[in-house]
Amino acid sequence: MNGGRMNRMTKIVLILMAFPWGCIEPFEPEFSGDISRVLVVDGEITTGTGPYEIRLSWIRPYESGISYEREAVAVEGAVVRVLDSEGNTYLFNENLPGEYGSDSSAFRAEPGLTYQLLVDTQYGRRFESVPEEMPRVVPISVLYASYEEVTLTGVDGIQRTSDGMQVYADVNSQEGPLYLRYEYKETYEITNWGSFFYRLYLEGYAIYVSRQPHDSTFGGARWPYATDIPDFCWKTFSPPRYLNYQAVAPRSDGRTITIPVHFIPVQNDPRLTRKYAILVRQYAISRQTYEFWRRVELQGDYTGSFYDPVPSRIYSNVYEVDREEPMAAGYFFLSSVSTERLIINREDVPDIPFYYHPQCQFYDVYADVPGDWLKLYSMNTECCFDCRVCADQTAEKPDYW
Amino acid sequence: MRSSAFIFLFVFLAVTPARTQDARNIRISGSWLEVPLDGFLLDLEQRYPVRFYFEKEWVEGLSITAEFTGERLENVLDNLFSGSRLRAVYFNSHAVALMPAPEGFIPDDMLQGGQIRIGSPFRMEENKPAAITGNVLDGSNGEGIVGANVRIRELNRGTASGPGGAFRLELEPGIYTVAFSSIGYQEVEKEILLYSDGRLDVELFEKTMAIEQVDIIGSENPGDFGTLQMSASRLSLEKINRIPAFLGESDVVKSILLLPGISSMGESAAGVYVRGGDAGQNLFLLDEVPLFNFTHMFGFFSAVNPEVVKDITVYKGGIPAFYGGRLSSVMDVRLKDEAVEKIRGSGSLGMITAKGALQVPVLKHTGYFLLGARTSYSDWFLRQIPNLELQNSGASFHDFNARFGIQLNRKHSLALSGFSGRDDFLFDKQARQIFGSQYGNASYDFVSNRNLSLHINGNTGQYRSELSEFNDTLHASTLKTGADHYKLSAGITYYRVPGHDIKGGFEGIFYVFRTGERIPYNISSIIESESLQDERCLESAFYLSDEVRLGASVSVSAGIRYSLFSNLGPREEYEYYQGLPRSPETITDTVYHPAGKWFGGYGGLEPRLSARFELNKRNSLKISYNRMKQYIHLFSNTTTVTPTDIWKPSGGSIEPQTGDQLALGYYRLFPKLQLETSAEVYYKYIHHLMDFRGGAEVLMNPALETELLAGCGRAYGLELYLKKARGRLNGWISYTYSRSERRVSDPVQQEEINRGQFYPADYDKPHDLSVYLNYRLTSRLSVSAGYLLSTGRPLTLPEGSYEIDRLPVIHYSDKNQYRIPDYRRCDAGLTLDLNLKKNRKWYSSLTFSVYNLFGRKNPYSVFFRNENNVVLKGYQVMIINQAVPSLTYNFRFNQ
Repeated sequence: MNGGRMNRMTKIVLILMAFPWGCIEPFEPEFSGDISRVLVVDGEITTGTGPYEIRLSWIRPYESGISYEREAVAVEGAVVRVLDSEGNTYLFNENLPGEYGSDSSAFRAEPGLTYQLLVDTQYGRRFESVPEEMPRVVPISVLYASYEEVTLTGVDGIQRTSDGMQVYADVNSQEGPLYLRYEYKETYEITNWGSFFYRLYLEGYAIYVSRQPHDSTFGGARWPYATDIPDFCWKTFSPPRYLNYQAVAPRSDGRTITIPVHFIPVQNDPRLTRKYAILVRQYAISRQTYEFWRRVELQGDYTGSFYDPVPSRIYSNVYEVDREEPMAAGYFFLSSVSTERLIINREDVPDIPFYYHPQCQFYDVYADVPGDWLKLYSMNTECCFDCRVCADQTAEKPDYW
Repeated sequence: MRSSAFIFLFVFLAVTPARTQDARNIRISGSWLEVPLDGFLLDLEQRYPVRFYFEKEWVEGLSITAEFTGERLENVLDNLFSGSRLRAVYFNSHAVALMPAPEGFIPDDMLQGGQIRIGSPFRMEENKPAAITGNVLDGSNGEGIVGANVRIRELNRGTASGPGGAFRLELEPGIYTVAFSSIGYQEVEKEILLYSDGRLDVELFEKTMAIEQVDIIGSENPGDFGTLQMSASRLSLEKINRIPAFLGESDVVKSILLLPGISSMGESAAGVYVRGGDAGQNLFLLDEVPLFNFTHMFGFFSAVNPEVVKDITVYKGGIPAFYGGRLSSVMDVRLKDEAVEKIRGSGSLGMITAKGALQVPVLKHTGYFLLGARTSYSDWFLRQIPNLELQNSGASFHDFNARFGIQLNRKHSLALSGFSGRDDFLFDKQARQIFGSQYGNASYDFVSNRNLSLHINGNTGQYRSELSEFNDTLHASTLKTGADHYKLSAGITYYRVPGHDIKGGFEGIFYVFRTGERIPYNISSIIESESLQDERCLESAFYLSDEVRLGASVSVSAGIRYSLFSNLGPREEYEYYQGLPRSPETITDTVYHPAGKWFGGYGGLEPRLSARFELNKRNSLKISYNRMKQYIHLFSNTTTVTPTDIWKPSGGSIEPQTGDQLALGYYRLFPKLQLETSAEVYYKYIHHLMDFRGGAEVLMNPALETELLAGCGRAYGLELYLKKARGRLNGWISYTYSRSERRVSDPVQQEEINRGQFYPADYDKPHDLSVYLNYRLTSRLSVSAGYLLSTGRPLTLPEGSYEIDRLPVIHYSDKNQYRIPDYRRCDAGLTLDLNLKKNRKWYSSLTFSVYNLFGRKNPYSVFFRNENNVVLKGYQVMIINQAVPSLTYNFRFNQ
């Protein structure tokens, strides 16, 4: 939201604070009770194929502040089970410390059944989730994209417009309200510029690469990279922090509802320059789950300014048996999933730049031509020479490409 | 030629005084024969460190033949230009501007002693009159003198000064003698050379300083033993002035915080919380006009200049049917409205502000003027602080009050009043906040045959707030919010029936709420203008009450108020799908209400009942019940009140708030000890209380209702009060135990706060002790002391963190589960009367006070912020972490 404004507001008030008789000092809160004994549940069962995973850890308590870098302590040796309304019990095995997985051949959640999570820790504490019904599957009727100009709010709180492809999911309206959450995975094709120089190298040119970025003095190494450079790579990734959840009002006219899922800009972005694929996973969730995600998103806007509203606790659907105060955090999600993939070719995108020019550190590439050294190109990082070195990239063409 | 430099020069010439090391002292040597003037000047520029600025045409035809040996440049130029229209003006160490003087120009050195130049000869236009504006001021206190005579001797023409002593005269340019006089003041004459528009301020001094002492008499306290009213307190100006205040700045609202049941969020915080109610639930009436924001400097001061105040009455419970519109309290500030016999004045000079008030009798003492003004000099204060950010910042405010009243005859009287207040903050050239209120007010009173009186009042006011951010030039914007109101009321008191005191009447307030407009700050900004629709609505009420004496020891006041509320188009309202969370996605329809069409509508009865049982001459019991309805709401998602908080009417999904309060009190007098004591208990329940979702965006949000959670509130408490009003030692001790709680419950757990249980409100402070004592040591010296102790206010703490589906989440405690440390503060003051016995008409005193005597570091707020790798780290803010001494000069006088 508008974090910038809030900070400015704070600053105005800081005039008053900064009178010579005011000051700001570190504050060490004193907590009542043992906050480190709060169990964190991060798990989901879906109507998709398993195995499902439930991660259990102890909360990272406030210690001179809250830091995400501290490692959470895994809850090891717990007995993790899921109960359904037909009386079946599915045991989750601890595959890694604190990570419990289901047996995919034995357990696949079904819409309409009610599920409950049971956790018994080594030391005899028992946690349960509120039994919830697995929502009905809501199929994506069409997944498509159109070229649009959208207004995006940047991290600085300022709105800018951008052209690009907006991906939409159409769903058929339902009798009752729908709560949906989206996840996606993107894959796109990357030209490996290094292969061009590799070809020259194969042709017999002496190719040198400077040792340092922006190092124009000659003295680099002669073709220091591998000798089987691919022409293309495919990069696949999911956004590290992404939330897209929707509440859809029921419609009696039976029309479809269009939900924006993701936007890919054309400028300064490599994704649409050749070929792009997006795998959209649509989860039908409960109202409770919807509100959970909504809270998580609101919390992300918190700037920590004391003129900001203080966010409230996000409640878990897991509780400790026989304890009144909430001793669990996180959520045990039930969602029915439907998946669609959309491929966008370069030809589908108007006004697409010819190629994406990466903007980072540049290494100069020289070729030894008769009479002089010819500067061929500036490349950034090793991964531009060999795209396989980059994170999340592979030279193996996906089977659906 | 460098004519472009002229603009620059003009600006600085006015402010830069001549220095000895400037260009005029350059020694010139050399000889020139028939050299054109511009050539000569060019020559000088090459040989000496001097630059000349002039327009070429001015020196055309001029030439020089001269020989100098170490002659000063000033003399050289003076000789050169004697007889011509050119004059040399010196600027900094090397620049000389050559300026043609207009016709009739008299250089400074030819001015007669005492003559004053008004305006500039360079702006003089023939046959065009020039205006003199200025103020006639009382030299002893700087207050404007109204009705002073300003007379031009030569023309036998003149004018009289108006409000603030301001006057304006238009005259042909020329030389005049102006005489200033006013009854009781020494006459002053000034000889002026008038060129063009300009200012002339004159100070007059009283002929003699023989004035009687002014006594300010505190009114009967309505919450006292002997009256039917309970849960109310009244403070007179005198009391307010004696309470040691921060920086010696006495303040109406800060004073009432010492009374039981009234608290603030912390040091200097803007909001006032009465018996567990919200900051927006207080009706603040200044001279019968409701004010939307009654603070200056984000709460350091209140909007009312205490010098114009007669008294403030605070109703916390048992609120008479006459008042309505807010749930928690009424703070009724009355201005000095006595028809004075002689001119009276009062004022003070403090560390941050100067303030004053003047009461002037007019029309043979049947009428009076009351004028008040206050201004801050905190801007100057900020610049003394060795911090660049603060030196680039500014903080200032001022306010003006005026009131005119007249008794037309024995039955009819009229009063008119006005107010204007403004705050201006600049933060480090990044942001600026301006806010202010104005109002105009008129009332008419009629008293007939001693059994009926009628009071009619009409007023209108506006509140505006502007927040500009210009750190980023491209996106510099100004956000404007505000509220206007138009109020009309009429009330009749009928006391013909013995033992009854019947009151009835109506009031109507039309509001226009400006809920938000964002515009580009200047032309280089690319921000597009956007504005939210104004919201118009009418709140009206009818009331009837009777005060009955039932026998010797019981009296009852029963009242009923019927209030009505309706919205007025044009307005667009969103409709949301029933049963779904309100969010932009669940809007099903937009309803358009055309201009002029009334829509929505609420109403309800508000019963008010109070009874007093006099057990004997020293003991009495009082009981009261009242229901209040509030149709307009103050929305703020921050813990403290800020000028940009938004007022919004009921309508759509925002329901009116309703509050019920039951209070019981026991009062006992100890006549021998001159002590009055009281104990009151109350229970209050508030329906349809709105709370925000965490992280809600309040400003520029067209669908604010999507951010609201509906809840309810309850508050209860015990208030003990011990007061000694008279004697060498006087003061009071008040202790309050109170709880204020909220509940937000919902079928959806995440929409609940604290699992649907009652939780402490943000300003819940169970224990609150305040002591105020004043002791007169000698007839001229008195000491006062204040002590405050209260539970720290509630706090929500981040207890830990975790990840869910790779997203980091902070785990907060229950809302308001923890508290900031307790608040403790001791203040002390010493007042020394300066007046000698001979001079009874001029009364002055010096107050030395120390705020936070023991330098306790009271945390005002705790916040968490991002720091390097730590996502949230706790900090506490102390607004005042040391003892703050101050000195204030107070005065009052009587003609």
